[in-house]
Order: sequence, then C-alpha cells, then structure tokens
Amino acid sequence: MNRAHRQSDWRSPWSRLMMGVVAAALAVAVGAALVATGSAIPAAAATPRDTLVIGMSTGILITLDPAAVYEVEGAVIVDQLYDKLVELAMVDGHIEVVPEAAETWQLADDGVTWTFFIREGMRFPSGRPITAHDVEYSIRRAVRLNRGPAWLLNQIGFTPDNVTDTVRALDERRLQLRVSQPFAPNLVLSILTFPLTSIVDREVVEAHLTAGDLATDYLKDHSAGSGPYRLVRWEPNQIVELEANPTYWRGAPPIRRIIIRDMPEPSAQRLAIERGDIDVAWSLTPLMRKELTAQGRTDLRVVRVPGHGIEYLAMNVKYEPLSHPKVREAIRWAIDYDAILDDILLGEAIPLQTFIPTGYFGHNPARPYTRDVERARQLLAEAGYPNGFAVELVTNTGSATRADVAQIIQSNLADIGIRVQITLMQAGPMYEKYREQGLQMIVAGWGVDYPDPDALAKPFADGSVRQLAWRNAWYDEEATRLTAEAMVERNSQRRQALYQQLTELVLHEGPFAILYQPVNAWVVRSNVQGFEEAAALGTMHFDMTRVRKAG
Amino acid sequence: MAQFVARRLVLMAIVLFGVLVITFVVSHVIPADPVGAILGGNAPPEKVAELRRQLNLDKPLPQQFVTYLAGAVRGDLGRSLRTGRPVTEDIGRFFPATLELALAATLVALAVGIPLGVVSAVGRNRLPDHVARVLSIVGVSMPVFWLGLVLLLVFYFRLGWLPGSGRLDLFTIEPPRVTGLLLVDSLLAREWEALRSALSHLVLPAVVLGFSATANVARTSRSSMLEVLFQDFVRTARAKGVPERAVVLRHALRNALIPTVTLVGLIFGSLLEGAVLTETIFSWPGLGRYITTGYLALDYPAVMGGTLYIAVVYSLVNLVVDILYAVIDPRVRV
Repeated sequence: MNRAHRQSDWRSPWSRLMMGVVAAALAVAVGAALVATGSAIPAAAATPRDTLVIGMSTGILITLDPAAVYEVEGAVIVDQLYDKLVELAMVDGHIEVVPEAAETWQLADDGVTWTFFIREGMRFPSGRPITAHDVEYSIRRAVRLNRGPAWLLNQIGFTPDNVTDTVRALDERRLQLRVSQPFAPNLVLSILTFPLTSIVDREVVEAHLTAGDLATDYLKDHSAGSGPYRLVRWEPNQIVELEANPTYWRGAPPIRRIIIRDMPEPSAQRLAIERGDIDVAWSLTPLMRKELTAQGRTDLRVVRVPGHGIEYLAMNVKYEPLSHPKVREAIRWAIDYDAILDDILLGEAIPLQTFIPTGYFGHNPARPYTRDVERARQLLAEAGYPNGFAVELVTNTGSATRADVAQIIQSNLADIGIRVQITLMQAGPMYEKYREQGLQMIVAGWGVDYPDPDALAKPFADGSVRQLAWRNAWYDEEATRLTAEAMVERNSQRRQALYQQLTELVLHEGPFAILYQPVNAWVVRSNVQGFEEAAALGTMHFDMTRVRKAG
Repeated sequence: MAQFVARRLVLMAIVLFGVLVITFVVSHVIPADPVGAILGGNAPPEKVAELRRQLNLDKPLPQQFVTYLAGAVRGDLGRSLRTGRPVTEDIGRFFPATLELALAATLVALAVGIPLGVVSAVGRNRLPDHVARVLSIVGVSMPVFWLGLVLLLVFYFRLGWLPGSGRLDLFTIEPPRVTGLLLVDSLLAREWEALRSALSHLVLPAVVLGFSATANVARTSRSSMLEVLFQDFVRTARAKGVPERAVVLRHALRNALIPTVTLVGLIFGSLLEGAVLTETIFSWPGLGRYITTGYLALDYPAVMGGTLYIAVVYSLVNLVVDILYAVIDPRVRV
C-alpha cells in the first residue's frame, strides 16, 4: 500500500512536468507564428497622465550632487532639482543667459566685480526663503569641493583659497562675485549656468556633513534644492524618481511625477515606447528613429534639436606630412561631407565646418569645403606628396557612428593616394594617447561645457592651452592672441568680429576638418506635448516644466 | 571527511588567490587610463594628474597589489573609482538580483533539462531522442542576446503577457528589503501583488538565461540515464515485473541523477557569469550589469571586486556540491 502510494507520487509530478514542457514548447511555437504573421500590436497601455516615464541608459549616472555632476544624463536630472543664479534660454534661435534666482545683475566699471540681486519669494521645500547667503554658501561649496567640473569656476578666478573673498553675500539680497580679470560678460554668465552653481539648502547640507566631505555623500542621491522637482529615490541601474516640488516659485509643473527607468539596451527602449510603457525613449539609434518615422505611426514622433558639440577629424602636425598646411587643406577637400551626413548620420546632423556651432554667439556659417578630388590631388602634389603617404587614423569603440565615419574618410583619402589605416580603441586609452600628442589622425568629438564661444576657441584655436589644438601639436601665435583678446572683449560687436577672424583662420590653417554638429533626438509618444520647448537647448538646459500630456 | 573538506578549502584559497592575481594583472596591464575615462575627453591634464594621485594610481604596481590584497583579506575591496562607494556595498546592493535570476534559471534548466534527458534516453534513437537532441543543439548554439530579443518581441511586445524590463512593475511597491531576493521578501511581507509582479518579471530572463544550460543538463542526464538503464539492478527490476515507468523513474532516475548534482554547481556558476548579457537585455539591476558598466568606465576596483565575489560564490557552491557528492558516494573521498 505504502509502496504503491509512493510510486504514484513519483509518477504524477513528472508526467505533469513533461506536459508542462510540451505546453511551453507549444507556446513558443504559437508565439513564433504570431511574429511571423505580424499580427496587430495590442493597444498601448498608457502611463498615468500626470506622470512622465522615460527610458534611458542610466549606467552612466555617478552622482546627483550638483557640485560634482559632470555627465550629460546626470546634469539633466540635476537641472530639474535646483535653481541657479542664471539660466539658459533659446531666444529667436540664439542661446541666451536669462535670470533665474538672480533677478538682475550689474557689472562694475572695473570689469571684475559682479553684483547679483536675488529674487524675493523663492523658497526651499522646507519653507525657508532663499537668500544671498545660500547662494554664497553653494558656490563656495562647489569651489572647495573641487570635483571634476570645478575647473570651470577656476578659470574665471575662483579657487578654494580665495573663495571667501571673491564670493560674498553683501546682505540678504545682494551677492558679489569678483572674477580674476575683466572677461567678456557672456563668458562669466554662461559659466554660471552650469549645474555646478546650483543653489543648495544650507541647512539641509549642514545637517548631513560628515568629516570633510561637504555632504557630497548625502547629496549624491538626495536633493536639497528649490527647483521644480525633488528627488524621491534613485536606485542605481534601476530607477530615478522625481516628484513635483509644491513650493516651486514658478508654480508646480503640470507633470507631477517623472520616472526614469534604466534601459541599457536601445531595442528594449524601442519595444517599450512602441507599447506605450514609456513616454520618452532617450537613446534610440538613428536607424531605429528612421524606421519608426518610415512606419508613419501617429502615436509616436521624433523630437530633434541641435546638439552642443562638434565632430571632427584632427591631424597631428608633429607627423611630417600633416605639418604641411597644403596637405591638411588637401584632406579637407577630399572628404565627402555629404556622404557622412546622409549615409552615416541619416540626416540627423547639422552641416558645420567652423568650430563655433549654430545657435552660439560668434557662429560662422562658412562651409567652403566640398568633395573635390582634383583640387585635393593638386594640393597634395604641391606639398610634395604626389603619391600620397600612409597614416594611422584612430577612433573609439562605443560610438554608433565614428567607425563608419572613419571608413568613409579612409576611402575618400584613398582616392588621393593617402593610405589610411584605421585603429579602433576604447575611449579611455584613446584619450590618454591623444593627451600626449600621440596620435596621427583621430575622429572624435568635443562636447561644449558652457555656451560661450570661448569654450570652443580655447580648445580648437589656442595651442597654448593643453587642449585639442595642443594635442595635435598645432600652435599659431595669431590664433592664440585672438583667443585671449576675444575672451576679455566686453564690446559684443568687436567680440563678434574677433571670432569671425579666428574661425576663418582655423578653418583654413588649423589641424582640423570639422565634420558636423550632432543633433540630439528623442522619440516621444504623441500625447507628450511641449517636449520641443523642454529640449530646445539640447541637453545644456532641460526644462521639464514645459512638458505636459494630452488626454 | 574533515580532511577532505580541509583539502578542498586549501585548494579553494589557492584558486581565489589566482583569480585575484589574474584580474589585477589584466586590469592593470591593458593600456587604459581609468582616470581619463572618468573625467572624459574634455578634462584638463592637471585634473587628470590630481585624480590619479588621489586614487593612488601613481604608485608602483606591486605596491598597489599589496594594498589591494591586504584589503581583500579583510573584506575591503576598495572603493569604486566612478561612484566613490565601497565596492562591497555595491555588491551587497546588486548581487541579490543576480542570485535570484541565477537560481531561477537553474530551476528552469533542471525542470526542463532532466525530463528531456530522460525522455531521450528511454526513447533512444527514436523520435523523442531526435527532438531532444535538436533542442539541445539549438540551446547551445543560440546566442543569448538573440533569444532574449525574440522572447521579448513575442511575449512582451506582441502578446503583452509578460513585462519587458526591470524586476517589478513601475507602480508596484517594493517589499521591505530583508534578503534582497524579491520573491522571498514579498513572501515574508505577505505582499501578494509584489510577489506576482516579481514572478512575472522573472520568467523571461530566467528562461533566456536557463536555456543554454538546459541543453547541458539534458545531455548529462541522458548519458548517465543510459548508463544506468543497462545495469543489472534495472534488469532485475524489469525481470521482477516492475512496470516500465516505475523502472525508469524510480530505479534508474534516482541513480542517474548523481552526476547531475555536480553539474548543478557548474551550471549555477556559469549562470552567474552568463547573467551579464541577460541583465542588459532585460534591464535587470544585477551584479553582471554592475561589472559591465564598471568595465566600460575602466572602474577597476568595481570589476575586480565583482569578479572576485562571483569567484568566491562559485567556489563555495562547488565546495558544497563536492561535499554532498562525497556524502552520497564515499568512493570520492579517497
């Protein structure tokens, strides 16, 4: 009896399991059949109307402390949590600095003493009003903390040693900043729009100080600002959740809750936005966007805005043939810029050949170079290389497009006899070698840190600054002089003229062939409105208060 | 027995030391600059030099290794270069998700693989065997990435039966963290909604991860089953008139499962490693993802710590399996 009982015990779970296996196999087969027949997609499961769900790869997030954050994605989130003295806005297609916590400001005749008048009525979520003392505390903290982005403030003269004197609250409403020399006003203001200068609640910060860390451990995943949103939680590699701040001085934003879900794989983001599980797909590939557009779907749309960066080919003049201006000129004439834009970037880029991108003060729209093989060959012959030469071109892995761009350049240059060998490297080691002037040619990009032409002139034109021009061993006295002069020119007309001169010089003499200005693109569900306005500045300033959802 | 365990423990320590040396050497010899990677392409050289000094990366390699080793022995795996958090804290945060996934995948592999092996052994060289063999080959050769995307496409995108990413629904409240295993935690807290949500999120990644191991299990259980089926006691049982089903399941299978026990340890270990891709496809916040993102940022302490930790778990599991095996089969102890 007992035996028989045990026997049936043995039998039935196993047979059930076998049945289970068969059933699972059937399910897979049915599923596969469904895919094959391409049946209709089930109706989208919409997210709540007051909630915006974003799919993004958040692996790059390190900290949300405004004084330390330096990654684009992190800066976008921090932008929602804090107010700063001044902010950026897009006015008639131009990037401009506009008031935020500072209602107005004055620059004294000495050219170095700035006074900012703090707006009345702004409060932290605790109810405490924001005063000049809070701003003083925040900027001093950022300078003393001295993290990655601190060099932005260092270069206009704020250092941990002098910050007690140079950053001072005169009273509740007036904050005085003394910069190290009379810079162009826009340069100082645009540096102040970086997340670094976000205003933190002094009391919250002081309540969480641990030995010498200025509460950076706490602010890494908590917010202490007066911005439109507050940070509810951040689970690394999982989720970031923001909630509307009821005491925000412009009034609570229409979207009450922002949820950023970690989706490292673009294909997963694509499936999720098509199904309506997320409202915004942050990082699809250009090809995916093109496919979605081609499907003519009405429930999705693509939002594109100019990015704040430049993609370029650089030529190290330490390498014999590339030291000849005519060789570099020949290379610029040989490149098929249109093929790069159309075939690789699928039209998602802005043509650009000078180093100040569109939308920036001082932008020079000149685009003299087009593919002209005859002319390129002739220039090469004049430089003494009728049969070309061999050169190594390095670019990094991890970019969807750079390797392809490098290949186009390789075949373009082959047409004039220059034999290009492409080497792919990881970004880290590549930049290490590049920093030592150790590469011959490189396809890379430059992300702008603050929207002033000086942020581009220094790296691209001034060989005395250890940046891009220096990395390619290019030094031109005139370019260095013009960069320094434009940096401190307070008359904007004269400044404009200086940048015109400088961009022309680098365009023809410099070590670069500038390829294009990238475009930032998001795929959003059609009921998400105002995303264009929110993203107008690319990722320099992201204004989630502009976003709302239709029924 | 005690001697056997002691010997195994010494071996394990040697293996772990080897892992530590190799990860250290590999991550310090490849020509890469973690500081440059952290600061990005725009950083001025002074900042790079300064951070390098702060992180002790300017010290000679042997000295760095001794420091690291001394820390590791005390259970201090250093701080992540990227986040500044202690690596052990990060592991504590991310490992439970990987553990849950690997356990579930092992279950899938056993639940599908063993019956498959049995069926094909019993129906040797007939249709069931061929079907099982094809499935095994498919299992071994199908890339995890592809399978993951196909299953997502079918069960998430087309049918909408299962969720596509993460460990819980967006608006499901996470149960209080006790073990970090969501299934266990939600059971403890009696939060049925969380349990349902966690289960449904676990299905696809566990199937994808367990799929290739299934083939392995099926092959092993098939061959050991075949071996047992020809032994005398099975013949005796048949001769005594025991029904075929009972012969197979009760007499043969029990004995044939012994090699599979060892396999479980190996499978579990390989699933811990294999979790990297699965975790990326399904946005699963586990240790595999932590190590990948660490690697991409050249965050050596994170990569070394994560790898070492997985090696420890892997060795421990194997140790337990070996001990179990020795208990079952005394011949092994010699």
